[in-house]
Amino acid sequence: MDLSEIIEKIKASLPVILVVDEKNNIISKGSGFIFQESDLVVTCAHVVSGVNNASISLQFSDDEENFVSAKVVVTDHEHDIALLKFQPNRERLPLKLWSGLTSEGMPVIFSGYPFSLMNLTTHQGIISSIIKDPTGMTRYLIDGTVNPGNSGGPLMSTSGEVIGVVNAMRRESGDILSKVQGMSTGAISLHGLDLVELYNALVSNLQLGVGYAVPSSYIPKCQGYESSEENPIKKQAGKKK
Amino acid sequence: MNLKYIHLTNGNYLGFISNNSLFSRDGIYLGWIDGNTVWDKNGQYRGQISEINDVFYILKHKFSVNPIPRVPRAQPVAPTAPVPISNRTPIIVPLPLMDGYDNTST
Repeated sequence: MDLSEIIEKIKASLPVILVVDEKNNIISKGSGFIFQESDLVVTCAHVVSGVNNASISLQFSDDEENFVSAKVVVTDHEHDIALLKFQPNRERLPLKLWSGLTSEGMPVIFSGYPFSLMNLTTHQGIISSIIKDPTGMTRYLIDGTVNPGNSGGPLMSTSGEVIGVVNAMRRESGDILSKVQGMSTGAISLHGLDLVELYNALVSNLQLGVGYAVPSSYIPKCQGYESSEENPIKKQAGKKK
Repeated sequence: MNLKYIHLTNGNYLGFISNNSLFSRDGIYLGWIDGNTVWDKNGQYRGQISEINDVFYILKHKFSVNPIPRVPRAQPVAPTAPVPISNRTPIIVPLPLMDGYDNTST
């Protein structure tokens, strides 16, 4: 499957999101995408949570020289979604909403900025399962390489339309190992090697190939965006006339 | 004060619920209750309050996907812990249920 045209089309609408403290330390990094309005970015709430004394910066892959500041306008912790407002320095089109049926087995792509990468990366997979958690919330299980930093990126159809928001990767640790994870650094050591730190490094680099996404229907509607069925790109085009 | 007493499936008395907050037997804050759902002090899902033979437990589905963690809430003022009530006979919960407090970690 050649995705080059799709990636070219969506690239300018997918910023990396950096949460930076007063000393310019990056305290959180994630992905996002322009949606509904051309000055509105969707990301995960956990990417931008607890930023009271920190600032949020966006960087677009077609404008690597500049960081654009953004502020949180909506936070929905329950669905792990946040909306950010920013001042666009050039025209950027919102991604389209997928209007088809989302079903298990359908091929999907997702784009974002995993690990410490500042380059937009795109992965492909399928929706391996549509599940409901114990609170009744629907989530998509993705068979694909979701990694730290992908949070907030769009889960899309192979035509680049938004199906959901990537928000987590699956990790498994048995009862014994999860107890190690809860230990403080240095609690177990062997020949001077901190095994708790070693364990945490191993777990954070585990790739089980299973990720989660929140359906796009949970994205809060922002003022001016009238319907989830509406085509944001058409709407923008209409505004210009 | 309207209290609900919670036991672990191994029979041990875990603690009590007061004003939608869960406390250990010693009155240490463990989490909060939203509807019937229990979230621990770190915002992690712990299960649902379930009644079996007139005893309350916090049970969760062993194989289900955990909900998205919630933002931890401010710790409430701990009430005076009631006199710990007696342990119960251990129960074996049917699959796929398991104790949300896993008999040990709080």
